[in-house]
Amino acid sequence: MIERALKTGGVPIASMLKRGEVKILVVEDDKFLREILVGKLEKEGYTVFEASNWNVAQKHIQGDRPHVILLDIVLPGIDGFEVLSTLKRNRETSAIPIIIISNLGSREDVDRALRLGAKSFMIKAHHTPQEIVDAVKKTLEEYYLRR
Amino acid sequence: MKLRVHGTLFAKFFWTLTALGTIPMAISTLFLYATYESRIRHIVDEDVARELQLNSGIQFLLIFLFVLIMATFAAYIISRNISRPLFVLTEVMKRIAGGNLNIQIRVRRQDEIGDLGNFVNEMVRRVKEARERQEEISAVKSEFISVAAHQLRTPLSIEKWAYNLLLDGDVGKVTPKQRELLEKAVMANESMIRLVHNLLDAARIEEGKFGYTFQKMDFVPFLKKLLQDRTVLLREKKINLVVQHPLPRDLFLTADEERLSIAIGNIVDNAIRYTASGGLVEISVDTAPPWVTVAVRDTGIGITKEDKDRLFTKFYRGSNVMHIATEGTGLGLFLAKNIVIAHGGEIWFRSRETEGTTFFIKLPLEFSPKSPSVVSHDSFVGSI
Repeated sequence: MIERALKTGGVPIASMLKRGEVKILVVEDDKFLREILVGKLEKEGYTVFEASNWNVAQKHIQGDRPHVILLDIVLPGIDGFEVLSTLKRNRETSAIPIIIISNLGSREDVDRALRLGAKSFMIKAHHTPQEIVDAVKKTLEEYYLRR
Repeated sequence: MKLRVHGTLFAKFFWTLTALGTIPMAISTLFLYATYESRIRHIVDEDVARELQLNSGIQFLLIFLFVLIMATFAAYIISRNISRPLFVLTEVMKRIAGGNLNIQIRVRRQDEIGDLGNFVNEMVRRVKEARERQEEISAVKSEFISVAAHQLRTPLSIEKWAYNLLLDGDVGKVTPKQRELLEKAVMANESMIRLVHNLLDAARIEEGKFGYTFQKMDFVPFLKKLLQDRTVLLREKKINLVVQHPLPRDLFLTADEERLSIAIGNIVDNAIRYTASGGLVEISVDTAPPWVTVAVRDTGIGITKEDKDRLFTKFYRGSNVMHIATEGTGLGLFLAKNIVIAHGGEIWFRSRETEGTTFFIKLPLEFSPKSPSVVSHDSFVGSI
């Protein structure tokens, strides 16, 4: 539906939300933070998949085709930057907007993530869950309705 | 190279040797002359006596010339023997003062100067060891701060998100009393987050990883935005912020906008924070090419004499602010100073206790950031 919206020039986001067609993937290893985000996003009407590690995340990306990925750059056992660059190199996943959520946040980290193709970089300690949800909304509009 | 003689070792040796050679000779000539005058003049002819006197005068002049030549040679050899190693030692000291410890002197002499050379070498080795140890400690310390700060961020995020969830009413209605308590907790949490952020910046500065991206920027809109961002704080503290004179137009600087906003922001925040409710904070921008100076004047508590020298050091907080504003980190001015200096600027203040403080940030209009200096690794600068 969203893919069609892209071609035909836009479908009101509300109607897609009602049908639960907007899919978000949250990749975050901290259970508490992940659950807060998932809860907030579900309240907005999105279909939310969650992953605490890269293996689970990969399955969701391939099987569920999320429209936005919230990605923690510090994941157990794997470098989040690697994950990001893999996703952006892969033809099938390169178009999915990725919002980095992390507790890293030096200028080098931010620049590196943006260079690798991340949509934005949000430091968890500096943003409220609502601000992250707002960023997801904005990204959806930019990527799927206005182009 | 200009040849300098006056006051050099050579000149001193030359005059000493000349005096040593000339004075005894002059005395002896004088005696001889006197002897001619008193004794021989009666015995020999007038002409002969005069000739003898003339003779001794010429002899004196000739010997004097000879002494001068000898003194020049001797002074040159002696002074060269001393001043050349001194020159090498001075060069070594200059480089040490410049921070280069990768140097040694090749010592060939067995005398006192040779000893001095050996001592200098030993000293350089020890200082180098101490510095390396210091650098290691400093690196470990910075790394510790960095790791600890990152570790703190996760629980701080959890707290922040949990408070926000509660305040948003996502888990049920919040009573005004509960809201008040939660808002207190949010404030404390935010100040911890700020501390962690500052700690990470300070650690990066010390590790030399606090990079700058310099770009041309329009200064006035930047400053306006920076002040705009303080509207809430100003309203809460009921402080009047006044921008003096119309701000200049088209004021372009070469700067790292984000970093500079930390520096100027910290100064403005301090002015607001340490001024009592109802007080005044004045900002002025003064352009005098090639500089622009931003002055931030407050009518706050001022800085005590004892605090003046240490104000820009890390973790230092004014003795009179501790009890009125507990949330300061003692890092704001440390960061501000480092950032301003990295922009080729200067920062200073004037203050009177209980009357207020004015901070000045002076920045160059044209700034070309220097590439990091290359440390030379030549091990021998010369030999003595």
